[in-house]
Amino acid sequence: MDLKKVSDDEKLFLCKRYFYWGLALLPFLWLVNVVWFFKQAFIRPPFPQQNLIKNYVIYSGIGLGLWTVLFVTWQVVFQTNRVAWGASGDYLSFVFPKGYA
Amino acid sequence: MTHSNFRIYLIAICVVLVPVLTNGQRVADQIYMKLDSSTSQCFRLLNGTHQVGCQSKENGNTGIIYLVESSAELDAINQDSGNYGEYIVAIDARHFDEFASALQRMPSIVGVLLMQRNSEPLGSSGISEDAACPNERTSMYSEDAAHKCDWNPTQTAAGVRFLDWTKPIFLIDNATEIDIIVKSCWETFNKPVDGMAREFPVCAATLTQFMTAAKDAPTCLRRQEMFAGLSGDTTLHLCDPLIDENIIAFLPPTNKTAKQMFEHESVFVLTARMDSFSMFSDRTPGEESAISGVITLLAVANAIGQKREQFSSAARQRKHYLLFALLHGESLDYIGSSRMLYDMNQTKFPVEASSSVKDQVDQLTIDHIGFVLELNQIGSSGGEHFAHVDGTVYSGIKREKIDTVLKDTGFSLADDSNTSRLPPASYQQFLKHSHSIPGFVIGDYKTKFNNKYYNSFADSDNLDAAKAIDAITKVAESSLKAVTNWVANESTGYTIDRDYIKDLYDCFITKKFWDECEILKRATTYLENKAIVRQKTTYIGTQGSMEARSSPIKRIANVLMVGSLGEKLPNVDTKEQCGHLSGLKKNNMYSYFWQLDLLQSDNASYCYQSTVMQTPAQSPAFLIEDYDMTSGKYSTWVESVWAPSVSLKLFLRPPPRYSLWIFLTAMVVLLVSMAICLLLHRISPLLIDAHPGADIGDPSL
Repeated sequence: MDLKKVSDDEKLFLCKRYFYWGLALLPFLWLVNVVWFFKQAFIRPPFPQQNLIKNYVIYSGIGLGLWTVLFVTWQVVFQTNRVAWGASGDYLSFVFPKGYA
Repeated sequence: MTHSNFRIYLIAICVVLVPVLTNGQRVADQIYMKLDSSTSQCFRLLNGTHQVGCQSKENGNTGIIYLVESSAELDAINQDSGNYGEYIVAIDARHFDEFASALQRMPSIVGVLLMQRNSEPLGSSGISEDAACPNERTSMYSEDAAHKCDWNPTQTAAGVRFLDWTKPIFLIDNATEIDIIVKSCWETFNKPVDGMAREFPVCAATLTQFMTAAKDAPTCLRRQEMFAGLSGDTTLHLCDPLIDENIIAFLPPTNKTAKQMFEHESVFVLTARMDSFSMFSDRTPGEESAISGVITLLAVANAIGQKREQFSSAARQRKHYLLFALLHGESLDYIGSSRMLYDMNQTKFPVEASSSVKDQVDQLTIDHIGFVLELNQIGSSGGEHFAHVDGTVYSGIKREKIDTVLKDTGFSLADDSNTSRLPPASYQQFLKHSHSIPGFVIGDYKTKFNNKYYNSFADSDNLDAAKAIDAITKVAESSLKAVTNWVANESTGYTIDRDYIKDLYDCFITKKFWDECEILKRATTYLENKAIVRQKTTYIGTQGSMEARSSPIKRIANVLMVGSLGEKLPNVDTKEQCGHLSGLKKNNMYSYFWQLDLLQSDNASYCYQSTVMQTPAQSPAFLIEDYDMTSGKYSTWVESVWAPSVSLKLFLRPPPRYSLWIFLTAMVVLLVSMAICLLLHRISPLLIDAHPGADIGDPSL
């Protein structure tokens, strides 16, 4: 979808929809929101819907930041503790390494 | 053909011919020299808490070859590690035990080449791969921390086999390859000259032996079970529990229908272990560790088998029974005996009671056992033999029973005090279940093993044949007297056949393979997979469902026991009829085997009916639901599966600065190519015809 061919109302509608759907534990929607509408929200000269779009982009950005912290923390914890957790670590794993623990 | 087509064909022909005309070799073959005569690599075992043995990276461990003959070289490696980086140590088997801990500990050593020249003896130091206190965890004295247990004289207390090496070890005994490593590789390129390290190029090696299981047995077993392959067929095969069978024979057999059953303390158990182990899976000759005891027991069985009817009727009058037990897996935490006693406790030994069989054996339980006589390491050169008892049992009410049997054998006690400890022996497992069974263990040692090669790859060609045969004969005669007196209350009329012992010794120990002499050639006639059976292997191993892959020592011992204790059935003339008899299951007192008469030289085969049976030798740890694998109560050993590509390659490593030069050259070539491309792009209008379409449709092409 090319934003150039879409009306400003439509853009606001999309940004809003992506934000709200992202609340259903879908952080990648927020990532898309931030990347896609960044230019619209901050770089383009002002237009009527820009404020609202800017808000949604900022909220998506905050949500994205929180999710990133969460994912990174979990990755670090899991990678460093998987072996020590023994059976529980294995229950959380899908593929097992061969030859080392 | 047209001009351009012709050029294409010419180029294609040249391309194809070049490798043929120049005797082209793969580049890899020009770089690496493969040494592949060795089939002995150290493999990984795992138990409830640890992994032991070797491991290499999936693509192999690479290091510079360094020959170690004394600790001076190890120090040199320690200091040198900045210079060369990682090392593959080549070491003679004679020095292995001495330096094993250091080799295992040093992180700059990433692999070991163990060289064993067959012509040379291993020297007076010996090498044992087992711990100073073998089977410590499952011993009956494991609670008693104060007691010092050091039966096995080894320089590595934990046992070379039980270190977690995490580096590959290859055993090389091919003289040519040893010369390549020592002379062509080490002396030519790597040996320091006047104390100075050699300049590059140096000789390096890559050892590849990848084990798939890791951490410990519960982990690999759990992961195998849990793995959900992406398609239904893929499975993750990481490790296998060790499993095989014990060989037992009751004489006379019990028969519940005829009311011939076991009574309290009515059974005499004569037992020996038939297994040994090594870190190298195909090097487990176990000659003094296990085979010596097996031959002794077989000789006693043969002597009693000659007078089987007489013995059986005398025993029946006294309501006494004899149990021969050749146990498997004993060297790895008493797999066979712990399972046997577990089955006894579940009244499933030797088989479960069945409602469909008419004449069936009685189940043996621990309180039926009246005496245990174990044969453990017989025959080291000229040594005296001693009986070992447990001090607590001996100072209790059973002392007299032990003394009576002891007098019959004529051996003296190694230690008659009340702190006397048993050596690592299956008898310990009996006492763990019932601490008042009288018995003792006969061995050629008093306080420390005489056997310097206990459970190792080098436990072969160390015995003096004449002395060993004498010792085995003497111990067999003593044991025979003890057995016949206790069970049948008579000892005359039974004689040990010394020629039988000589033949078995020659077959099992002197010959290079187990089918090179008459008796064993006859014994292995009907066994499947003879290529495996002839290898001198006493290791218990893992087992698929195929009989043909199970332990050679067990299969051969079974044939020998049947030959000694069995009776030839007169009217059964074919193998199929004999097999049919065992299928019928009218009784489970007897087994039926089709084999040659081992002591004749004709080709006639017979159907032998005997009481020789095979009972499971698999640790109860794998049977009990939710067994705690860390408890150390039963053996939990499993063997790792290993990747099929195993290799040892030698090559020359150029100085590190070569890599830098190659990289710089590549960068220069890259930049130059980019410049040329850019140039061509810029001047392309001059090179390419400005009128496209002029060539298309040209009728002359």
